[in-house]
Amino acid sequence: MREVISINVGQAGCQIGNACWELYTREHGIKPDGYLQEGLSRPKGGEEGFSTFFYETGSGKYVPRAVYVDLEPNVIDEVRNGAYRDLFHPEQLISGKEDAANNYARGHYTVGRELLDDILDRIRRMADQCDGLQGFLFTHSLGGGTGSGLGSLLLEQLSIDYGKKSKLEFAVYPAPQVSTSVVEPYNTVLTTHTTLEHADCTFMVDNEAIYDMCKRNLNIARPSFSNLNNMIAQVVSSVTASLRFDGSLNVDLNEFQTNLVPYPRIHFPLVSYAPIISSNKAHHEANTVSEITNACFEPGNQMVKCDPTTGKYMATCLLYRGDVVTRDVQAAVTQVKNKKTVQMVDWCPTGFKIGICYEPPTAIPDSQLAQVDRAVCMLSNTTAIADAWKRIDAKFDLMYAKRAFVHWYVGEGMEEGEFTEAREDLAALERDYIEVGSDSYADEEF
Amino acid sequence: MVSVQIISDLVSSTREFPNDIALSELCDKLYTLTGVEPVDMKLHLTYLNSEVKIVMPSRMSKDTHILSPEGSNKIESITVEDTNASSMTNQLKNDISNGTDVSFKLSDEDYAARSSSVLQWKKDNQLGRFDPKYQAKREEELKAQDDIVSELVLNERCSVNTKDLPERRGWLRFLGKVPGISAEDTWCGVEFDEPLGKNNGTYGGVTYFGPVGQKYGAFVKPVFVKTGKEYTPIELDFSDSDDEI
Repeated sequence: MREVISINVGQAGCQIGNACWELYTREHGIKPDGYLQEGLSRPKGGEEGFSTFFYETGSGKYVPRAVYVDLEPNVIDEVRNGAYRDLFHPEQLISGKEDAANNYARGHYTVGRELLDDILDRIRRMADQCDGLQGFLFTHSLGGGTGSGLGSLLLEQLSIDYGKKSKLEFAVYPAPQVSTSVVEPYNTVLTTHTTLEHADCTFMVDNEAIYDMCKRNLNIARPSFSNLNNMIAQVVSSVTASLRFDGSLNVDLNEFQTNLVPYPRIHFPLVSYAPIISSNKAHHEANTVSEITNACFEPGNQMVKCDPTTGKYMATCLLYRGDVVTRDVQAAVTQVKNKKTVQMVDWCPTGFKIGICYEPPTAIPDSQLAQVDRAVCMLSNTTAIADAWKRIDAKFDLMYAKRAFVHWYVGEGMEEGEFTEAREDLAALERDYIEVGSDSYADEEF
Repeated sequence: MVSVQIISDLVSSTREFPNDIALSELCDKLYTLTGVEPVDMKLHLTYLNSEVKIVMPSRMSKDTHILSPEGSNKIESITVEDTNASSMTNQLKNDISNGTDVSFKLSDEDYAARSSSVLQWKKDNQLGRFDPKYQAKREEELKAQDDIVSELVLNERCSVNTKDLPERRGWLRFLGKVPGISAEDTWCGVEFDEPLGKNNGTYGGVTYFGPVGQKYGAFVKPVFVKTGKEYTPIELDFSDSDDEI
């Protein structure tokens, strides 16, 4: 058995977690109370795949291998009182009384640390139920106090307690235009620095990119957080589908790492998803394998705003689900490899990995996203994603030059030196990406 | 709980608050969210029916409950205005609009000194330019480049044949180093007859020729370039087809 434990931290992390578990339960034929849908004798997805994300109790109830953590009670109370309240064991839902006030230091050093032992204890109990735990899947925001502070604290601790077990993250990256709190750039830089050596692979999603997708592709005039989270859940589901469903071309957590991450620090693949279409348009589109594959190279299908035509690729992973045949996939891959805009790094081996899960994606009712026969999720390790770091580093510098609000952090016992140390590390990360992009022979024209 | 959108010069975020939250506590939360000090706050409360009410927290009782709905009229958003012109958030706002550059620069030495970096990885594993084969190949390439460059005539007509595109013609406007691309190579700055290039003669903020029209310029490796008077502009020639009529 190759179990995966999901850990949802902070408001954004927990809300994305909710959207993901709603989708997972639907995909596997499980009702919100944890029991099988009428007419099913076993959950969908095959024994091996299914049990990576759920365990079965003696009474035939299925429980997610998940932990919810938040420093304030509101978001988790919604889980406790919501439609999925019976799905989770109460011990899986951990909330405190006092929030992190958007402050990394409160999440990491003071308020968050008080909950740490309790959280690690619950994770330990869940890990003990596994035969062959393969790793952890985090969802959290980089900008929020709990998501950044407590999220990174947990990642650090899991490295100590579970050694080399894989740790993958889905991380909400601050939107380029609007900040959700004034110190978001600090939190993002601090948490990225702390987790850089602990996370094996981080998939970033930028709410502004998702917002634009909902508006443009799904015709939602004013996308709500629940629209955004449903979209994110669809992507998370695609990435995890190959773990949850038995299939012919399966990818496990380790393989993501080996294929996508040539050097540990360069572990932020760009995620694209297709098709993103609304129900009323879906009937007019063929969505062939070739079309959806090509759509992944459109900026409008990317989860982070950046320009991959200016970058170089180290690795690409295409995860198909639904009604696809290998021949079409092979043709699409050849097409991708010959694209002029896809420049591979040529001084080190570059990976190209295909995953196929024959179970089509499931659409959440009311999410606007159409029910389709097939979809693809592309994970590409491109140097273009360094744009995201450049943006947030510049915002950090503007504030730190004035030491703006630094006293909020120092007041929680954090040393000011951690700011400079973190910023230097991120500057080195930007340089790392430049270093990846240089020394290729292939370029003939600028 | 009531869900309210909080807007300030630097922040926009939807947050949940208890209905009966005291004004002082609300202001503390708004402070950690927006950076605006409670004494400087002027709150614009926008209600569901578009009605706007202004609240100055510094002039009100600390335990007023401004979020409690007035009948069915619910608060939709609070815009937090900072009345102190020299406050931190106003200073930051000015720096952003002035494009103040205070960016942190990591020196080459400091980057090279880091033990875990892509640079160190490349060195340790002889990758990229640290690969002896790469060096040999590069030297060969640079030598070949010099030979080609010696044949090229500056400000002469030229023909460009890169691997994936049909022939393009124009003027050779620049021959030399473009440090922004690579330190060692010689580059041909070409002004194309048609907008089939990549830039206007500027790369990395430095103008090497022109500036010419946008997309009329590019820096091409010498191996793809030939110069000569015979490379006149490619024109669509319709004369032949007349003969056939």
